[in-house]
Amino acid sequence: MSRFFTETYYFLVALEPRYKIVLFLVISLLILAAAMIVIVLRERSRKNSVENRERRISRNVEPIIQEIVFSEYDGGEFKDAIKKINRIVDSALYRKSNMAILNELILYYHRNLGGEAFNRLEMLYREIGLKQIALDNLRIGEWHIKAINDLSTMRMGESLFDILQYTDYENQNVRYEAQYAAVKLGGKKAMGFLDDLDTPMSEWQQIRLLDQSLKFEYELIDRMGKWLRSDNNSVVVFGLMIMRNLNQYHEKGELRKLLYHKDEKVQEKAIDTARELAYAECLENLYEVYELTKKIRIKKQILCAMGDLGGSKEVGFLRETIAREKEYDLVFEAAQSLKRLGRRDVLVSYKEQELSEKGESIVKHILDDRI
Amino acid sequence: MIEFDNQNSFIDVLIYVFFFVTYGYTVFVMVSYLVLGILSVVQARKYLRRNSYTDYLNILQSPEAPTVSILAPAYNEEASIIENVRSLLSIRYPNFEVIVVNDGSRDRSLIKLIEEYHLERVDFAVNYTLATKNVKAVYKSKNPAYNNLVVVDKENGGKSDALNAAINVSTGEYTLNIDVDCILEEDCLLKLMKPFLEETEKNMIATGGVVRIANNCKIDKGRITEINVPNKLLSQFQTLEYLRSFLLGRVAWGSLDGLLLISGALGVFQKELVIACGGYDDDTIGEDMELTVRMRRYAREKDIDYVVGFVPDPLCWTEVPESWAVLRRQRNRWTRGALETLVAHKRLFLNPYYGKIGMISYPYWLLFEWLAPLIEAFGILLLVLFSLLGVINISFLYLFIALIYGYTVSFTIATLYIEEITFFHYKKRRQLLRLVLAGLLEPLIFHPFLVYCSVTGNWDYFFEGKKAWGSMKRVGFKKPSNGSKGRKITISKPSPSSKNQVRSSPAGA
Amino acid sequence: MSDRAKILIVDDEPLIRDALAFKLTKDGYDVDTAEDGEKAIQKIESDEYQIIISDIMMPFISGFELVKILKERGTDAPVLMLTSLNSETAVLKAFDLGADDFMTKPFSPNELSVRIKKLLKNAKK
Repeated sequence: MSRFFTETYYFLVALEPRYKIVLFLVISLLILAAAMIVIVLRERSRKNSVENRERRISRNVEPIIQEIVFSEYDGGEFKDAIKKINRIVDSALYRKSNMAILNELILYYHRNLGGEAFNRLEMLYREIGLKQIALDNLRIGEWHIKAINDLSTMRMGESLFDILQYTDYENQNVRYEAQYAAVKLGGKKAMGFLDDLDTPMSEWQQIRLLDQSLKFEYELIDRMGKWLRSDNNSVVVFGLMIMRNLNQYHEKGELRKLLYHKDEKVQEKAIDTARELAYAECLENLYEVYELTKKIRIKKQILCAMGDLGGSKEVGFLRETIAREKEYDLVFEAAQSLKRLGRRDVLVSYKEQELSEKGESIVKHILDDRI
Repeated sequence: MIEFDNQNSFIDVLIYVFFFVTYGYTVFVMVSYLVLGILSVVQARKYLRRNSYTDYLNILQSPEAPTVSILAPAYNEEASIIENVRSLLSIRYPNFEVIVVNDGSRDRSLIKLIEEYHLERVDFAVNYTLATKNVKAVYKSKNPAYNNLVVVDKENGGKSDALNAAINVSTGEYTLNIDVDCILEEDCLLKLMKPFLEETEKNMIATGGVVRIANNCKIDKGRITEINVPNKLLSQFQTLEYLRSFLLGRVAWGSLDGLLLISGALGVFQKELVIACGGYDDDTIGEDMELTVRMRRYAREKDIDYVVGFVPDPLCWTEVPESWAVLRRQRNRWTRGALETLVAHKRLFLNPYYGKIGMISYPYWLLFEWLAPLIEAFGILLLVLFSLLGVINISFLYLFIALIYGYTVSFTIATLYIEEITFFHYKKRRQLLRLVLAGLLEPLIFHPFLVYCSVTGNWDYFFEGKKAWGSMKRVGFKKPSNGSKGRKITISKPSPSSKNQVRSSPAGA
Repeated sequence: MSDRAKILIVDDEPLIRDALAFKLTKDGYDVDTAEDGEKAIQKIESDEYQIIISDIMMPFISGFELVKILKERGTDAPVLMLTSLNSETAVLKAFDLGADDFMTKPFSPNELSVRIKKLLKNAKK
């Protein structure tokens, strides 16, 4: 037996270097593979136990949360409930992870239930200590984004100051999250950062901020003028979004100027905003832009706007467009606008041969109400 | 290693060079996989972390969310088309339409759709922006619950043609192209649109996602309810393959913005740009890869500062062939498709004008994805020859082969490990072990088979001029045995003429 | 036979179903739940409900379809849609298809109670 080993040993030593290298690699790979399999299997059992724990906690805590949210608890009953929850989540090793599970549960309820339930959940969030955990994470840990997100979801207004520190953080994602939270917790006063924002704001962020802004209902937003005049095109677009969705009528002069903006996206949004706000006075500008622009998209947008703003002059213009225009999209848009203006009579009034075959089929399409 | 019996005989030098190149090539390939693997893990983890606190509700409820048209070409799908359309209609997104194109099916697909969804013909004015075969009729539903469903009935023209027809009819700003027999996650649109909305510096022209294998998964009401590893060994091999290529390959390339291929089973594109560069190409089989490359070229040539995104999330589940014959046809087709694209865009090769795509992605694909099986096949041939002539040192060769085997197995295990720590789909321990077993057998059985398919694919392309689609026998999604209806097996008749099949497009090896 | 009204809750998220069931049971109703449109229809066929609360975004048979199907069958129980979708299109579509009321998530449980009471009162007339 030992002869075998010694023979093998000498054989191996006598090999050329490249053999040794390759042999070494093969063996280490096989060991690596075996090790990974073992790690995988162990990870599994760990994950399973985590899942089981999660399920157990959820099952036990849910009814208590439901009681809190839906019943009129007085101070004493509330404290009892907190104690009960604490007993469930308390554990020598797993407290942190249990608290995370509890966190998600409360956030989930908060996303779906409103009204009085908000207040109760928020009180629970504070009392049970989750708010403090989030603040700690924010100040010391690296989980800035999640912490900011949680605090803003749970409307922890008192943490606004802590969050504001991050509105110009280096990491863009943290910055975005902080801005969003600032607006959510601080209202329109907190939107000052948009005034001199020099980095472009993504559409995602715009949509989120708009979502929050909708909660302001239709209060006047003075800063909007600054945004519309900003050099930062994404801020201009956002300003237009605000104008459009929150019915801000006070910057119509600026809006008129934006119809001629060099950036195509801004121009498009400006025209759309004019349409939404029923700003019929800018129709003459629209005609001008229609002539000046070469972009089909802008023309389309203008024709669409006429469908809401237009009067008899526009009806004539639209009618002409349908007859003359070669571009399918423009004919389509014009016909649709006529329909929206309620002028189906014009659509059916074309004489024989006045429309091209394409035009005829488009008119037919528009007149079909099923589409 | 090589016995030089006389000074530098020409053949000896040749043999030496050959082995040097082969070994060097192999080592380079292995190292590159390693690099890509590491990059992918980092990206996938980053994505998962961000995803855990992303609230998609903002998009879901926003009036400003961009409009999306889902393009679903269908050919002879009567067995499952009702369910597939239904699952498409229940995708969570505020503003989207589903356009099903019946590409001249010879079965009752259209009739079934008309019945189920109460369709009626409408006077739709089709704009043939992209040239397609004739559209016979457009249908919409009488039921307002399905008012975002549009069904287009047209003459048979193949998948690209059907996709182009759908584009002609669509009204969305973005298009999601899918294979109608795939199952989509209900949040897939929200997740796929996110990269577009987050991009501030460049113009994002397209985004892809991860495709996974649905064989043996439990499907209920058009959603995957339980993920299982396939039963058949062949499908298990493919599972490993898809895992490697998507999870480790595409995530990495996606993060480098070097993706040459967005799967035809799942991809979102900016419609305007698709139309501007001519839509899907009728003449190629690999229309998804071809479009991605062509869009990149177009954007570059128009000086658009663009980027192509990738979402590391498994958003689409597809079935894979369970028989060797069908697999062979599929891979043969993929090889030919890739070749067509590579040839059509050969301008990209090492062309600095095209940046990363020209200098890295295209050469990599050419030399290490396309060429690899050929070199392997050639290498094996020569090895057999040389060993018969007694020219080479067998022991070192065996050792090297052992190295490759060991590396491949480790790589597969590493892939499974990465899957565990990222998406953790395969929960049952026994199933995981079956995958490991498959991993051990794969280099011995599956890999040589793939090399064979690639070789024949190349042969067919270069010497037989076969550019047509073959036929593919499809197994419907197997329903679990708890009483739900099973699906019939659809057997498509083989056809000599080109393009009348609308099938899964190449996902790349 | 108790005089309590029977409510059916249709939502694909279990936590919502549980929470609603809890609340409405507390309010004094008899509550039943279904996790998707198909099961909801089965339950409605076998049992009688005075009011149905349904989500819209569910797999396979959406809330929209459910409403249409129920109205076509002549179910006279009022249907209240409870959903995250809050666009004007969704609201119009829901009412167009026959829904009797529409609430968006996040919703106030108290508001829900009040609306349910009203719908039941109107139905009795």
